[in-house]
Order: sequence, then structure tokens, then C-alpha cells
Amino acid sequence: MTPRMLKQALEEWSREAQVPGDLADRALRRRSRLRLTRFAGAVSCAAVVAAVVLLVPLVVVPRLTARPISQVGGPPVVVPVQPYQPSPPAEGVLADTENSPPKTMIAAGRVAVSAYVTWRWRTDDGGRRLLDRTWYLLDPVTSRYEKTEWGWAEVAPGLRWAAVLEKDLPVRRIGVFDMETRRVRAWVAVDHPVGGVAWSPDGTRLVATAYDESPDLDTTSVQGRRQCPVRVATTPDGPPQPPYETIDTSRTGFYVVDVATATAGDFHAVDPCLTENSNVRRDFGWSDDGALVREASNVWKRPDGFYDLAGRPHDAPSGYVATESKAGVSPGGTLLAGPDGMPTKVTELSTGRVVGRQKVLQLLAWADDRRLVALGCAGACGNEFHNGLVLVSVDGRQTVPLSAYRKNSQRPEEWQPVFALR
Amino acid sequence: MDAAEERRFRAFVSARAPALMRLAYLLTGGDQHSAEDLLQTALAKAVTRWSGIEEPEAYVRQVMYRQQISWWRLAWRQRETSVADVPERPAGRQGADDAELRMILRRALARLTPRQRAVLVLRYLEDLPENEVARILGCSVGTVRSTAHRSLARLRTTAPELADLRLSEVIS
Repeated sequence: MTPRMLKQALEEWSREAQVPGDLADRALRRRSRLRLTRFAGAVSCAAVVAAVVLLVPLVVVPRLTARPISQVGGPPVVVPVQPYQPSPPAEGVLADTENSPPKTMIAAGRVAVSAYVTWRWRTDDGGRRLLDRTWYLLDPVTSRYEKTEWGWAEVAPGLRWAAVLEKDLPVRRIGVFDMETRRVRAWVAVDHPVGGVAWSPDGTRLVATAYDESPDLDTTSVQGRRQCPVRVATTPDGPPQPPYETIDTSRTGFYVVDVATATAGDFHAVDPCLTENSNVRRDFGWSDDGALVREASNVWKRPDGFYDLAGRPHDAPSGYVATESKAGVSPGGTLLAGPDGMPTKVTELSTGRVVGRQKVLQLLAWADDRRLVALGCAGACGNEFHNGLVLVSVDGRQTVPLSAYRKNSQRPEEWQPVFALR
Repeated sequence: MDAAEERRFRAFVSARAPALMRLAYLLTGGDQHSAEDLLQTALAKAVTRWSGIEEPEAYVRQVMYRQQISWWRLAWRQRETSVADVPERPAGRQGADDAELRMILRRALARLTPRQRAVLVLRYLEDLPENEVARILGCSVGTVRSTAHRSLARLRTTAPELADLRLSEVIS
């Protein structure tokens, strides 16, 4: 490292600046306001209070009302988000097996633990039980995890941006958080409050799921459940069906947010009764190609639900594979991670042939085409909840610990990893 | 400002905006919005005394340096993020090449305070001697020296990959 490198880094960085075409006009327009500021500063001591009233808006407001960056032929860009470009998976492994929860970055191949979350139950003044989360976000500059005050956070592929929601979900604005400077770059206002966000696979859009009550409500602590019409017809010989079945979600629909321009499109209402799912939180996600909105299935072996970007039910995309694990299909598209339960298995997608079994509890994410991040259990696996993150090869022969083992992963306050592509 | 002066002002902005914008971008830690705001504020100040300014570029640069530091003093929420412990060197970085190191260095620079960044830009990008940096920032030479020292130490703390960065190497 030399002074020359410092100079090169500064020069290289400065070249990213975009030059607005109307700088002279802006300066000339602002001239009159500065004159007023100087006048205010010259008033007598007796008028100090009045001068402060004048100065505050004149000096501070321009700083807070930054103009969007101009973009020729398109909408104004306020967040310089770039489509995610997968890079060749790194061979190196970053582990923290000393600390639980982890202090330093955990990553393997293309995937990183971008955040972890702890949770606990809270009872509000009305006697309702709510699940509270505390989010710890990766700081990619220091490679450490940092406690935050967000109510929800989702890191984009590439680890450069995160979408954040404030506490007391659902909320009426979505923050686009700069992971490097640790500041919210833009707020996106929404009319229908949202309780969850998910990045599109290319990291340029968000689907924000709207709820009219907390998506983290324990519905057993409240009176009056919502009801959906029963879809299965009562047969003459069968047992009598009640006219309605209850559901627990307060989900109302979704927005698709364009991150570069920090704008939410129209709200799209989606009937929660269209799919069978007993969860309260029923966030939308994306199809693998980012063309459709997806609702993960809550029923074993039942395919996910899909909607077009206007909220209309849609057929599953061609080539869709109903996955049985969080890891799903390998990056190369040839292998399928099998369901939870030790030992796990990986099969060849085209033939169903088992290509490897792994002595782990769950397959969580593909590090590359040969290795997966998995939930492994400690020792001889006497207790499945005494577990931690491991990197396991498809053939099951190599296992590398990535994190410390949690004493009881089901216990409140215990940390839960969240993954994102690097 | 009469019509002739306005034309001269517009010509100056047109010619020097790219260089000034690059400086503003560095001073604001790579924040395009804040950089635009900083530059347009400095230009607006220049407009109000245009006829009396002999070296417009030097004037605008000085206003930006001082303005950015004064904004930072006001904006308590934007003060530097403290890092309690010196991070350990992450695995797999030993083979970082120059381009990667420059990227790491850039991220670390973004985490400095505006004053720290301003001193580094003046000393190592603009190659100005300490007494000239002190004059532009309106502080003592001792303050420039100690700020430079702390800035480089913080770069090393923020990015373990820069652990090899030695003050003597940079200041020599």
C-alpha cells in the first residue's frame, strides 16, 4: 500500500460522480435565498429568535431535499442500484465458530449470512401477543454483524443494499439502506402498510407485502378470526362442512417497488383465500426469473402459488420445480436438494437418482454446485435443536463448521441466520 | 450580476463542473445527492460575490471543503460510526490484488468523517503541503497532521486488508 494507491483509489472513486447539466441554473436560483440568509444574519440581537427561524429552513432544508439525479430519457434515479451480476463462487470460507451469535461474517461460495435475527414474544397493552425481532445486519466494510433498530430487513443480492422497515409493522414507508455508508438512501412511501419485503433476483426491484394488521400477531391471543368460503364442495355422503374456514393472515396485497427511482407502483390486492395457508405472515417473493410474484407453499409437496405483477393468479413458470428444501435447485440447475431430516439427500433433477447423502438436518443454501450450507447438529446429534451452520459437500464426505452450535435453536433470543447471494 | 457576468459564470461552471463535481463526490463520501447539494451551495455563494472573485475555482473548492466540514459539525447524526474492536483479518483476502485493495480502500474512505476525508483528499489527491491544507481548512498545521494520522489509522482499523498501510509510507 503506497500513497500512489491512495491517490489512485480517490481518483477512481471520484470518476463515479455524475455531473448534472443544470448546475449553473440551480446556483443562480439559489442566489436569492442566500441573500436572504445573509440579511437574517445581520439583524440585531433583539431579533435573534426570528433570525434562527429564518436560518434553519434556509440552511438545512436544501441539504435534506436532495434532487434526484437526472437520467436522460428515463425517470429520475435516486438510488444507483445495478442489476446483480453473479461472480464465480469464491473457494474461500469465512467462518465464526467462536461466537454464538456470530460476530464476524459467515460466507461460503456464492452465499453469505447477510443478517441474523433474534426474536421474543411481547404482549401489548391490549393483551395481544406479538413476535418482536431484533435484526443484526452484516457490515460489509468491517465484515462484522451490527445490531439495528429495524423491524424488518432484507439484504439484496450483492450485499450492497438492503430494504428496511421500521418497527411496529406494518408500516407506510420502505427504506433503501446503503450497506456501506449505513444510511437510508431513499424512503418509498406506500398507502397500504407493508410488513415484509423481498428483492427480485436481479436486485433492482422489491415486492412489498401489505397487511392491515401485524403480520407477527399471535392470533390465538385475539378474538374473532377471519373466514374464507370453503372451496371443497360438501358431498351428499360426506360429513357436513362448515360454510367457512378460518384463516389467520391480515395480508391484503402487494406493491412492486422500482428501487432505482424509489417508487412504488400501484397497489395490487390479492385474495388470501386463493391459497391454502394457515400462517399469519404470508410474504410474497419472486419466481426465479423475476417475472412473477410467488407465494411459498405451506403444504408439503404442494406447489407454490404464482401471480403476475398485477396480482392476477398465474400458472407456474415453465420448468418450475416444487422444491422440498430451502436450498432448492443447484446454481447449475442439475441437482435438487432434498427435504429436511437427517440424513438429507441430493438428487439429480432429470432422473431423480440420489447423488449424495449428507449427515445434516437441513439443506439451506447452495454455496456452489458441489457444496451446500446446511444445518448440522453438534456431536452425535443427540439433540436436533443443538445445531449450527456447516458447509457440506454433495457427497457428504466433507463437513466444515461455519458457526458455533446453538444450545437450543428453538429458544427465544436464539439467533436465526438469513442468507443472501454475495 | 449583469448579463456579461452571468455568461462568464455559466462558462466557468460548464468548463469546471466535472472536476468540481468529482471533488464534491469525494468530500461527501460518494453520495451523489449530497455532492450535488454541496457543489450547488458553493456555486450559489460564488454567484453572490462573482465580480470580486479572482480565482473562481480555488474559491469554490475552498467553500466546499469548509462547508462540508461545517455541515458535518451540525449534523450530529452523521458522525463517524464507532468500531469498538479492531476487526480481525478475514480469511481469503491475502491474495487481494491492487484493484481489489483500491475498492476496499474506497469503502474504508467512505466511513471516515468529512474532516478526515477532506484532509486526505487535500494531502494525497491534490498533493498540497500541510500548511496549504491548514489554510484552506482554516485550522492549524498541527490539526492537519493529527487528523491525517487518525484518518490513516482509521482506514487500517476499518479495513483489515489495509493493515500494511504505514503512515510513514504515505506521508513520505
